[in-house]
Amino acid sequence: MLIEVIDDAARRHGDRPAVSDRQTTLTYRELIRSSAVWADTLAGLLPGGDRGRIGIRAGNGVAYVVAYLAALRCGAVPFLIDRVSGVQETAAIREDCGLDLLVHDSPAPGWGTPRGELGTLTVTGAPSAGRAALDPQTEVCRFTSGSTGRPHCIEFRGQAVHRAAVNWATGTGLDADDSIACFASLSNGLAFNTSLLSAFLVGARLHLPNGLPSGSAVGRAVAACAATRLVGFPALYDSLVRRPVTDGSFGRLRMAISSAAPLDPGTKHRFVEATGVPLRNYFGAAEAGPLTFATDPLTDLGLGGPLPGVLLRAGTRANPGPVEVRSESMGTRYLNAPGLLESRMTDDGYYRTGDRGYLADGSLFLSGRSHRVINVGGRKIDATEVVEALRAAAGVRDAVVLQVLDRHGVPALAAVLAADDSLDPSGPRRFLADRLAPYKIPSLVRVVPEIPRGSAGKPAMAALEGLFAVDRTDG
Amino acid sequence: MSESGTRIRQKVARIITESAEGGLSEADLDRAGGSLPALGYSSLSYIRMIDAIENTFGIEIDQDEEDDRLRSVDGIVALVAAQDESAHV
Repeated sequence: MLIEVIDDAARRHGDRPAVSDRQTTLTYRELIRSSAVWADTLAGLLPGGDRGRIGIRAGNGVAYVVAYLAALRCGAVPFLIDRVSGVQETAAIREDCGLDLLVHDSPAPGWGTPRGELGTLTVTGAPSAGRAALDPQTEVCRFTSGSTGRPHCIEFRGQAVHRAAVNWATGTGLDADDSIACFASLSNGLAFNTSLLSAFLVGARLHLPNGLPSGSAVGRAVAACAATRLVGFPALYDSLVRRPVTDGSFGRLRMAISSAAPLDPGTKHRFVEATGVPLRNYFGAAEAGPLTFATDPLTDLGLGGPLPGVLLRAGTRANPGPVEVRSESMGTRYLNAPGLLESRMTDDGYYRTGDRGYLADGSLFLSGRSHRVINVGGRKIDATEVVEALRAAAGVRDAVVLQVLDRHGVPALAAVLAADDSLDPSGPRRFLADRLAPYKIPSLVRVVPEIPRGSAGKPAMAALEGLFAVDRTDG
Repeated sequence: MSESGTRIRQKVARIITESAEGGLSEADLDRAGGSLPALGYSSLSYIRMIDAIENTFGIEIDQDEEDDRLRSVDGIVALVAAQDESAHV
């Protein structure tokens, strides 16, 4: 159903700009035409049999959007893979999910043989055997960091993706006059839910800069597309406030959205002061879609109230409790972890987010997590996955991965390795580079003879964190 | 290398180490031949580094144009020197 919804929107907004990057701008009409051409190419490369599965692993840009629509148009299921996934992670996803084709912009070994090209994107493929069946109504698959050392592939029905877009557009007042500068990867929920289908439904323009969101790059992109909305991770806003905003490039901007990763209150204050634009935290769950929106972030100090179609449960201010949600945009299940998503649902259909918090004056406030989660720069990291990879590195006897504050007072991924003191930490880090995404490679490493543990055998986290205290003072 | 070239290199090296999360010395940079990818320089460090280079030298870096030069100390020094030169023409 998704491609029909998109075609219908395109018919209504035909000659308006739909999507742009630094080199290219396509109107809605051109977007549909381009995606039809690429859909023919993809259809010719798919093996037949049950529905095709096409992984897309590429940087943001017009080509990404055209490839996504082309996959939908040829009746296949697009699997949106984080572009910074490691080479082996991507190969594992390809195998795990039984992908027929992988569309990407950076070829690597293990991704199948080249089968064709879509503009600057390469299509590779390899026969897959014995793959798990998709839910019959699944139209899109996305990934979450998982908790068992492998990304979980979330299946979404077309209806769920559509409702996420409708509810975000309605709940946040997105309309045809909006131009969204989106720096978050389209495979990430922050971008997928705030910027992709929701923009097209209302006839807005989606601008997709590629590259790092340094303040100057953001300023140029915002000016280039006369952005009314800016979407990015906290590092973008940290960078923006490190430079003066004086050139008027933010003149049309009226909304800025950051992920729910902790944003430095000083950054938020300076950004609002410099631009006059309210900065909102996006709160959503990969499995449940976008969940809340603060209509007036200057008076609402929480994450806002539930978006249309969302029901929230949490504790009280005096007694915070588990945050549970029910939305119209829920994922169906994990393709590669049968039963796991279902086990995270309550009997009455609410998803347990793992957050703790409370509702006050109609707004959601988070007070912590039910279990320890590492969140660096808006990316959630499964410590188990990194520890297992480190333990396989030469010379490493044991490892603990944790979040600490770096010399800038910013959360960073750190590792303590049990090894001989002759071990050069750059060795294990290089070992990880081929296996994991760059953001999963600890930027701070300490080597000790033995991991300090408490009487119950658990790592002594306070002692381990203390090993990194020097990094906050050496700069 | 000219005096101004040496000064630029010293400033660039300091900015690169100070922009890292921590634990990176100029000696580490030398051992890696000045290659930032070889050091596993993180994307957050890159963003801080670009900001600091721009603010320190009063230049603007176009990442699309300068992707290759941003990968090494030598490249960044050349980038800064080139923009510095053109600003004084």
